[in-house]
Amino acid sequence: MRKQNTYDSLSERDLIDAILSGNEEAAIYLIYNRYYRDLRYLCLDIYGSHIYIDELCQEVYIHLKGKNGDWHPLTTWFGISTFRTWLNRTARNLFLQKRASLIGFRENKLYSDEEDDVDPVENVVADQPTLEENLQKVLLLEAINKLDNPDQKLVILKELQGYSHEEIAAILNLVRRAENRIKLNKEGKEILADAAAVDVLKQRAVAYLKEALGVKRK
Amino acid sequence: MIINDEILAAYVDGMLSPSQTEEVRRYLASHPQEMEQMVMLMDNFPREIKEEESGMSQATLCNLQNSSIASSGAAFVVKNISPATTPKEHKVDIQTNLTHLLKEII
Repeated sequence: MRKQNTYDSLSERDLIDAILSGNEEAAIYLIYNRYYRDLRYLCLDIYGSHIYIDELCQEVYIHLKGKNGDWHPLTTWFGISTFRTWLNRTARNLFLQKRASLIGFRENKLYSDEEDDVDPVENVVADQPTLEENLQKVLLLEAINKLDNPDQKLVILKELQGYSHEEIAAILNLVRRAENRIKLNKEGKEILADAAAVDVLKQRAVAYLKEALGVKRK
Repeated sequence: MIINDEILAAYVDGMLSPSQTEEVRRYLASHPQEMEQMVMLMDNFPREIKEEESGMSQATLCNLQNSSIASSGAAFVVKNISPATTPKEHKVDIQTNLTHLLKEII
């Protein structure tokens, strides 16, 4: 516990320097303390449960330690991005790679089996957006990322991932509680977001995104 | 510029110069399969939620089971959530959803 407190005060750069100088305990702290929650979420996201979290954390450790055991992969983080985002991207790729060996997941099959029902002709057309269309999507993503209102951002991102407005409302209520952003009514009871509130948030976000993308109002 | 994991992470963090950003935009437009990862990297929830604060495990958090939510103190208005709902099951075609959203906006 005492050593964990010591590591808590270290920046990512300091932690990595410690790891590179041979302090494996710092690596354990990095994976199993500081970023464990992120890794658990990734595991849940990709595998649908936490059942493989131990194996996957071990894989992250092995990956970061590198083939020669010199922690070389860690030296590829130069501090251009935040370490957290870098680790999340690295771990996501790793978790996806390990899917085949852990659960026998079919490679190149990222989505649900429902895709099999898609009309092949329609699918071919849908799979060929132009470069210009893709660029518009990229700019849209960028604008979403810049949404100032965290609730609006959450609504849009979760909708992109296929959540219903009822589910997004439930998530939103949890986030607001966790961030101490709950609102109370006259009776002192918590005002909970519902699907209608999510719809309003989405429309406000869409209005902002239109402006950000330079779309003229009709 | 070589587009690597850190550059893409920095793009999500908004830490690139305008010219680097432009380069990443072009890269993503020609590698649309990367956009799904961008969405997931941009989505900080529920990693930000402390389990002890929400009063439930991450699995429960994502399952959004009504019974757990109701027991956390306040009644939830949501009634029709599938108990087995997880991010994995939600994994639909983000590209398609992006296309729909883009159409809605433009």
